[in-house]
Amino acid sequence: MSKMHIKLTVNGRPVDALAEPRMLLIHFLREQLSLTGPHVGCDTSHCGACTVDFNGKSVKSCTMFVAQAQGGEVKTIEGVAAADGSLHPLQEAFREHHGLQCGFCTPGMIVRAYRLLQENPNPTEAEIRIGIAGNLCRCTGYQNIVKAIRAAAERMNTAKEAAA
Amino acid sequence: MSAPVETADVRKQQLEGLGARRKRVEDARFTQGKGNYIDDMKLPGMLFGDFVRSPHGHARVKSIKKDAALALPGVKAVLTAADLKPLKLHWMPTLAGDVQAVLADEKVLFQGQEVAFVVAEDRYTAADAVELIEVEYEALPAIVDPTKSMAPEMSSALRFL
Repeated sequence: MSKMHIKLTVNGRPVDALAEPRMLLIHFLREQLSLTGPHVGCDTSHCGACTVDFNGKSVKSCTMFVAQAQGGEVKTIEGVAAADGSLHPLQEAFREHHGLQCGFCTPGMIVRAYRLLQENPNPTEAEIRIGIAGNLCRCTGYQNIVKAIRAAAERMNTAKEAAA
Repeated sequence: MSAPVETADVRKQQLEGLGARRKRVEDARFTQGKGNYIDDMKLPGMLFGDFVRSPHGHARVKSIKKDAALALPGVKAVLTAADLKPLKLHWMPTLAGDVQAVLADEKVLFQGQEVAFVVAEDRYTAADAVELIEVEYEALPAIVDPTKSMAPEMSSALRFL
């Protein structure tokens, strides 16, 4: 199948590549850009392990063609930590609160939580649970994931207040 | 004069050795998407596999046409039980001491059973090749009642040709 010219921004860097129009965004990220943080957990759009941020919204990158991302901005788990390598408060909190075991769902969880906290910087436990309903974890039982997101929200809000 | 109150949290933080809180070493990697799971690995010359699967619960496989799939650029191989037979790899032993068809050998015994295996340069080509393989089946009655399937004559009918 003939390839098309794809231009988009991934984790702040411009990407210029050739890809088949039918290629899924997740395969483009993983196989062409070697960004293997987002995972294919189910192949059926249920698990959310492939979640990335696209133009300010959480998307499951296995439900979207790379052609649909043309000209857009994508952020994957690889783009969540600061440029100097220091972890994002969400990454710290997942570690601190044991929000992961095998870590397979974690990239999707954190990228989703990252967007959730932009949409709602101070979510209740119920709002967090609804907010991550599209992301499945088979290890932790969610309890510690919710705690981690709550803790990260608090830390980010405190930092924001201190800066104000 | 009373001693300062020591909360459970403070006590936990002061613990060393047994019972102490520890951050897991691997979490720094996992939270940054650097887990390096099997599917994340990319080696030179790595190929992709995909299966043709049975749409039938029970059927005789009359023919498998793989020419069109093999003609597709990027397809490296299309394997069926006929290719595995000379190597004696078409049935494999299971942990239960039973044997199991690697690829359907003359008959399919359940829906979704692997009938042919495609090897190609990328996953999309492999999926295209799967579509190009024509399998002719002769549908046979399938047992859908688990109680009936346990009858001795049924199990022998299902497991062997």
